[in-house]
Amino acid sequence: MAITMSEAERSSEWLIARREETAKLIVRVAVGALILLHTWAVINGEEAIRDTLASWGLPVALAWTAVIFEGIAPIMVILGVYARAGAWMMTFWMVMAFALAHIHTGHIFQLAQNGVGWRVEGPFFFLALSLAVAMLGAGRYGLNIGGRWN
Amino acid sequence: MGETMAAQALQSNEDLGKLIIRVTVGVLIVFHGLAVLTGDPGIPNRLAAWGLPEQLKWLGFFAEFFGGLMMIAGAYARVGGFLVGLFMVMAIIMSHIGLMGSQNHLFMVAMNPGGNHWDHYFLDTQMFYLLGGFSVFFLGAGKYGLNMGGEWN
Repeated sequence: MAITMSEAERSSEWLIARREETAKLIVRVAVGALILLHTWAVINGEEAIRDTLASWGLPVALAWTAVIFEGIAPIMVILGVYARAGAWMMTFWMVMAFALAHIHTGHIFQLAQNGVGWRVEGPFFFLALSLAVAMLGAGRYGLNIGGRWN
Repeated sequence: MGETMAAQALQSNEDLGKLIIRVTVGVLIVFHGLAVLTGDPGIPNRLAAWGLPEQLKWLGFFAEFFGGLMMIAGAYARVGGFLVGLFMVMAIIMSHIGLMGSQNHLFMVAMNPGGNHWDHYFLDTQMFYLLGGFSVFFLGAGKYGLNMGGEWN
């Protein structure tokens, strides 16, 4: 098609395309990096996840699957290597966290202890932003490995 | 044909991703706006520490509550995202970088309740609001919403 674009149109399209790619980078690095800190906690013996598993009669050693679901998966997401697959793994992980720790305890119906904000906003950000990365994909700023699964 | 359908599916996923981000950031920040309305002392205390009039808390309320609602509805969602992002920049400057009697939390990791190991980044929810808000500013609302505001949505 012989549509001619002015210089201004071309540069504004460039900016519009880049801002979407930039946002995808921001979201995936934020959710990936912040969950990695929690994984470090789990590796160092974080009690909450182990207490939760024990309360359901599940083996406490299952806490070590954190290394996969909130260790390897966020690294895939941050790097842009099969980022959608990594994001689905993180989503699964956070759904399990809600199912085992936050729903029957009533946390999802409570405000935070200081009364400001929802009690589970932190975990919910991890859940929702992981799901958003699974939907949006990695964008162009990354290693770009994994084709449709990135 | 198969390719076009896959392309369409990917496109709709993109809109779904935008919806998830803007509704999450929007709904959660609205609760913080409501806390201002019900008299939470957090923002007034920090304004006082900076020697600023307490009434400025209503600017915070406006950004949190109406910025959130704009994002949720998909009405000038980019403006709402920018308001929330800017509000969080102000909040972090005023409360979290060590000025006017605050602690510098930027490089801090919160400990677990027992105090024997790291738990999470001290400002993780603040960063989610800040980066989430600006991401909505960059991404726009997508097609699931009121679609008000043209380029500003």
